[in-house]
Amino acid sequence: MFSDAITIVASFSGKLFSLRRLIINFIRRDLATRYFGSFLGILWAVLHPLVLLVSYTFIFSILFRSGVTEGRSSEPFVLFLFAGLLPWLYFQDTVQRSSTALVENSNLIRRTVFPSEILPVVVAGSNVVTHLIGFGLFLVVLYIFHGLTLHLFMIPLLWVLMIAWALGFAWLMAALTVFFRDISQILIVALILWFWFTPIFYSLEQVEHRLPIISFFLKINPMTYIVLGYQDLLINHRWPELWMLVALTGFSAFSLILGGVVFRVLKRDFVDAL
Amino acid sequence: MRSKPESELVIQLCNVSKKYPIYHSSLGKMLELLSFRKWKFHQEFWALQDLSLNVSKGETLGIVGQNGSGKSTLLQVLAGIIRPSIGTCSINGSVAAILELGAGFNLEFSGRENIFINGAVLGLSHRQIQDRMDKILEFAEIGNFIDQPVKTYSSGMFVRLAFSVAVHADPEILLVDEALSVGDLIFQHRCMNQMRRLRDEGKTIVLVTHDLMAVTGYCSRAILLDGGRNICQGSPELIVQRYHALMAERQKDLGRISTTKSMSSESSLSVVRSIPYIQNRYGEGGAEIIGIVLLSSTGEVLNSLPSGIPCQLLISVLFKKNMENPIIGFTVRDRLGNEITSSNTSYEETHLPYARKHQIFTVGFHLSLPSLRPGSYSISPAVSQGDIWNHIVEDWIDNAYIFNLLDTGLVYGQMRWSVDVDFQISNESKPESEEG
Repeated sequence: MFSDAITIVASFSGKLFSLRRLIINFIRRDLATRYFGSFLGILWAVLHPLVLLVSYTFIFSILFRSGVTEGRSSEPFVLFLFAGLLPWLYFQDTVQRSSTALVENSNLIRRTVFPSEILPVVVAGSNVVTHLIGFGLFLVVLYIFHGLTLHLFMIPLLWVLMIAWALGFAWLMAALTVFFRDISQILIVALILWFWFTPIFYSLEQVEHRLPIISFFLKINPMTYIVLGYQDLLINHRWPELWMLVALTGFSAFSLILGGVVFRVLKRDFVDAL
Repeated sequence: MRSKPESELVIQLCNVSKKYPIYHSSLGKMLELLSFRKWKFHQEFWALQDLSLNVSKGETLGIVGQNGSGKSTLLQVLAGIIRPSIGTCSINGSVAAILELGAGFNLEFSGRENIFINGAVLGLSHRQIQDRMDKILEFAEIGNFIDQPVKTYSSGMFVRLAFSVAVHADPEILLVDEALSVGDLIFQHRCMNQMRRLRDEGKTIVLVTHDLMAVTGYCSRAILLDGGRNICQGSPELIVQRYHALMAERQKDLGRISTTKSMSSESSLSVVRSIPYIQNRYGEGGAEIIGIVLLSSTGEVLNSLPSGIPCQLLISVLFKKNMENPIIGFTVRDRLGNEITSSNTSYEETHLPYARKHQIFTVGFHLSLPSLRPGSYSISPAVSQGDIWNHIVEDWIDNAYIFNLLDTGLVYGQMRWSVDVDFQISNESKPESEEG
């Protein structure tokens, strides 16, 4: 069973590698349809996080001066918030858009021998580009208002784990949505709840002793470890705890294998269901 | 069919069936999946049934059949897009398929990007596609539109691009659906040339078409599908004959249902209760056409007849309400929809009496058809109320009855006029020399 999974994953990755040009083509196209058709073009990829950052700054440093920020000074709180928000937005958008990607490309899947597994890869890849743009912008802001340390160099490791986790989950959702169209709607609702069960607006310590149930959900939520990693490396300037990285690696590998295998198995019936 | 050694077989279908579940509600589908398919909430539709087929390398196989006979499903199975529900399908060699119009294109992408997508799907590397790009573009003749999104393309451009990529991918097996008929005549000729070239190179070609001339002129073998079954295979000529026979038989069955029974009742006109084709129907509904049939002078149902013989068109109408001045008539069109003639009781100066609710009127039009060009013609019956200049259509059925005029080899042009010829031979008179 385990060796079967390994062979599937191996042939899967081999196929994806041989289709890399096609994937790059699709990613370029995905970015183009999202941005280049518009007047401001790729600027939107910069504007979107910028507006978020400015509006959160306004809300938390002027409207809710006290309250949520609980004694921290407001500027680091906005930065802390944004450090968690960036990976979350990557995950949310990748899963959400992947879930409808197969249905939207049914013309290709039903009429050609199309490698449909690349579609979630394309979404994940295209979102990496927008994530990097937002991240770059955030680094500039951090450098000016907060300062950067060598901890920054561990971020790429988090990227790899984050992409693997999101891609596996996206494969799973994309394949299931073909058979249950409701899943993309359920995801919209589920992701809102998921967002609040991820320590983005609050820190782990704030709930750990007061709300044991929530703290349990936080611990089994892989997004917690990604968000904490970002916050630790960028804001708190400390190394993430080792067990967290190990747990995250486990989650990501599991997600990638499960998503890939489920996709491969269900793929045979895509054409009938689309 | 095993005239060639087994190793030469490139397509082997063994008892292939394809089932589609038809769900009447998404709830049923949900419950069925939740019960791990123990409860059944669907009806089954078999698009292909127990179909076996062997194709050897270098053959050109034509597939004919009516709409819905499973031709396109078969092609999708051969292309590897859908899996058979039962049976096995083994394909030896690379396959390129040209399926329905616009299939396999991403409408938002440009033509050039779609070439790369299609090429990659056909198994070409990026480099190979780049190398062949010039040839592909030259054949497709898309011009400057190549960098525009394909959603702006005309249907002709779609099919030229699809065909060009498929042919230049150098497949060992080429599958072609009816899509080609979209192109103009010049393009169709060029396609045929390309396909002949592939055939001469020993490639295997499977062609689905309604163009029977292409089947007899191009294919080395053909199969006839009906209701998802392979009902006949053999030489293209044989299959085309069988196809015609099947079509005629089908219509005859429909016409026979009631007429044979009522014909025996000795009355000169009997009620007809069958309509072969109802696709487009409109009218106020005060009266309903319940049957139409074309009979020979001896009372046989006619679907194919030689030009120029006398025949009788019967139309039966059931009145749903009392009606003054009903008019019953018909229009004859050729295959292309050109109106050939039309007439009705009012034109022919036959005044129909006042119609009462639940009465059935059966009108017989005794026709002597002129010699027309051979081919298929349609009759659209109608019933209306009023007079020729001012009337309300109560029921009208487009192309309800189809009949074929057989080729008697006597018609040149649209129709044959009745022409009497006499002639006389005389010499040019030269009065001077003769008298002098």
